[in-house]
Amino acid sequence: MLNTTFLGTNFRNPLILASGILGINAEYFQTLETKGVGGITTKSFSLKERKGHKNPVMFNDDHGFLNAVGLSNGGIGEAIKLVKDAKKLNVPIIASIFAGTIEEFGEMAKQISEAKPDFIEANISCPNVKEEFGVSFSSNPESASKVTSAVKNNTNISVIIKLSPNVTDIKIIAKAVEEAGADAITAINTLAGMRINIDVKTPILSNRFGGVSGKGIFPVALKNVYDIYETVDIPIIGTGGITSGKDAIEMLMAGASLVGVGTGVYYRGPEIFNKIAKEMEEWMILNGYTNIKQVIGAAHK
Amino acid sequence: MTIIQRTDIPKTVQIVDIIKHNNDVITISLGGSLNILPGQFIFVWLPNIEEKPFAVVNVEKHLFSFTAVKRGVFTSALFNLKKGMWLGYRGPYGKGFTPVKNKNVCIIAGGIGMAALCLLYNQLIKDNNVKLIYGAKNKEGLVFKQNICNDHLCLCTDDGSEGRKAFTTQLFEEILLKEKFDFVYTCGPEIMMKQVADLCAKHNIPCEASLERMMSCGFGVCGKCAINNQLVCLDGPVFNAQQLTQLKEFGTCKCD
Ligand SMILES: Cc1cc2nc3c(=O)[nH]c(=O)nc-3n(C[C@H](O)[C@H](O)[C@H](O)COP(=O)(O)OP(=O)(O)OC[C@H]3O[C@@H](n4cnc5c(N)ncnc54)[C@H](O)[C@@H]3O)c2cc1C
Ligand SMILES: Cc1cc2nc3c(=O)[nH]c(=O)nc-3n(C[C@H](O)[C@H](O)[C@H](O)COP(=O)(O)O)c2cc1C
Ligand code: FES
Repeated sequence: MLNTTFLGTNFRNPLILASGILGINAEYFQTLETKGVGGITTKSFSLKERKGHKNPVMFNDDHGFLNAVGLSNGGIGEAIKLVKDAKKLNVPIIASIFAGTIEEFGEMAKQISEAKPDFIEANISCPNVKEEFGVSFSSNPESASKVTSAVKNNTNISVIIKLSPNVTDIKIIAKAVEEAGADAITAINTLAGMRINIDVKTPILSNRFGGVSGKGIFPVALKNVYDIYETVDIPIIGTGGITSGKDAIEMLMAGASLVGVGTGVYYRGPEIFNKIAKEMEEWMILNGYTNIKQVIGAAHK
Repeated sequence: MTIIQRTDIPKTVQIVDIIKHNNDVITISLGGSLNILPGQFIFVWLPNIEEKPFAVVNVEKHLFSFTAVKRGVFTSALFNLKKGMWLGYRGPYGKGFTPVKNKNVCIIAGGIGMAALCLLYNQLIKDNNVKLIYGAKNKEGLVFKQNICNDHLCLCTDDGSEGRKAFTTQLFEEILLKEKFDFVYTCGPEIMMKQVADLCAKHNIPCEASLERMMSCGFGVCGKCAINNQLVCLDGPVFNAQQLTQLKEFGTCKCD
């Protein structure tokens, strides 16, 4: 009932672990597989190792979840090893990459392809690293398009471009990456945000600013996915604030073909994948749906 | 309908007491009430410096304390704090110990590992026969000994400056020749805990050990604390004998 295909690859269910959540340890991926995950996105990797920010790098307030991990990762060598180990699982693996320059994006794509992930996701949207990366690539159609071409030209693997909601009009960016050859789009990454502790007059994240995810951003993610669906023909992984089966159904109706779950793991633990899958099935049975594909884009009339 | 409410934002409280046990060990008491089970842990936030996980060694009505050994930037900064200053904390996190009742139990503590066992000890002595084997490099390392009843205590140090000149595991082996235990709890250097777990397996005694790994979030999101297919912050930090045998990495961590 929940099984589906995405760019020709089979998924037992449309529930994808979003990048940056538990995405660094292949042995733990086994645990997630037993807990019903449909596909796994790795943490975003760069060519060189990055240390990331000091703690606090994440917390949850009453409105949303904040993080500024600083894109810490072990570099391309570790990424290749992780993907190779993860390939032993029975769920598709999406390798997430990011870089500081267009050329480096191309180089990352070339090197990570060696490990044969099922998909490559280019994170061009991460708002965490001050001006250095991401922000500029995703915030204008020219750079988004150039990154897409650079990645595409260096691999035969299907390429997903992950977009940022911190832009004036995400439709323009979506169109640009589609025209540059992107096979799919993931939306959305986190929204820029911060919190200050008033007793000590200090921003809580060590980086001061970070990205907001979790339940609070669900309406924002939904609107972005709905808009993108109306603009492009390539499939979408709808991500942002999904914590229940009904959220997932709603995201599919907005036009997503798969849904990403990140912060949901915080709210409901690693069991969230089995739980959402069960809730989706219950809803579908109750409402007379037999195949998840009947739901995709259903809200567009 | 699933309604999920959780908040994990550092909450600021004032320091109400500071005890410097020696140049390397400090206990800080924070004003506030905390509902924590033995073996669980909290994150302590030093604004503008960092945030790190710690065991809670004492809980009273409007106060709770943690004890730290000077290791790096964070723990050194603790020594500059004064009463009345603000610190943040969040938690408690993790799965704690399983306290038994009406049994013969043995607690084996190595160094600062005793911090994670203090609340457990206080709970166990209410309705069990307790033996506590407590070892450290030297006598300065035995900072919790005055909180423990002498009748329960077997002390040892690597250099013989207090108690027996021996490792905790040696004392444990000797005591096992004379006494029978229904349950063993341990926290300390991982190599020590591994040996304790092996001895317990040999003598068929159920045991629990509290593990330590680098952590970032404490609530199962960052993945940093993974040990094989488990997360120390979520599935642990306390693991039972059966779980420990599944963790191939247990006993190999050189982080102590
Ligand atoms: C669940 C849990 C409970 C803890 N309880 C206590 C406690 O009660 N008292 C206490 O003093 N400490 C405790 N720790 C360790 C504590 O969180 C700090 O890691 C430690 O005090 C060092 O901090 P630092 O910033 O001073 O040192 P750093 O500057 O971070 O590093 C100093 C050295 O210690 C190593 N190191 C740092 N963190 C760890 C770690 N988590 N595990 C292993 N090696 C590490 C570094 O690699 C480095 O070599 C606990 C850790 C965990 C995970
Ligand atoms: C702790 C944390 C780390 C993240 N790291 C990455 C990352 O490395 N790369 C990336 O593309 N997105 C990263 N994200 C963004 C998520 O993949 C996702 O797009 C976003 O959080 C919205 O989904 P959610 O509300 O389900 O978490 C991270 C999010 C969180 C909470
Ligand atoms: S510390 Fe982040 S998952 Fe355990």
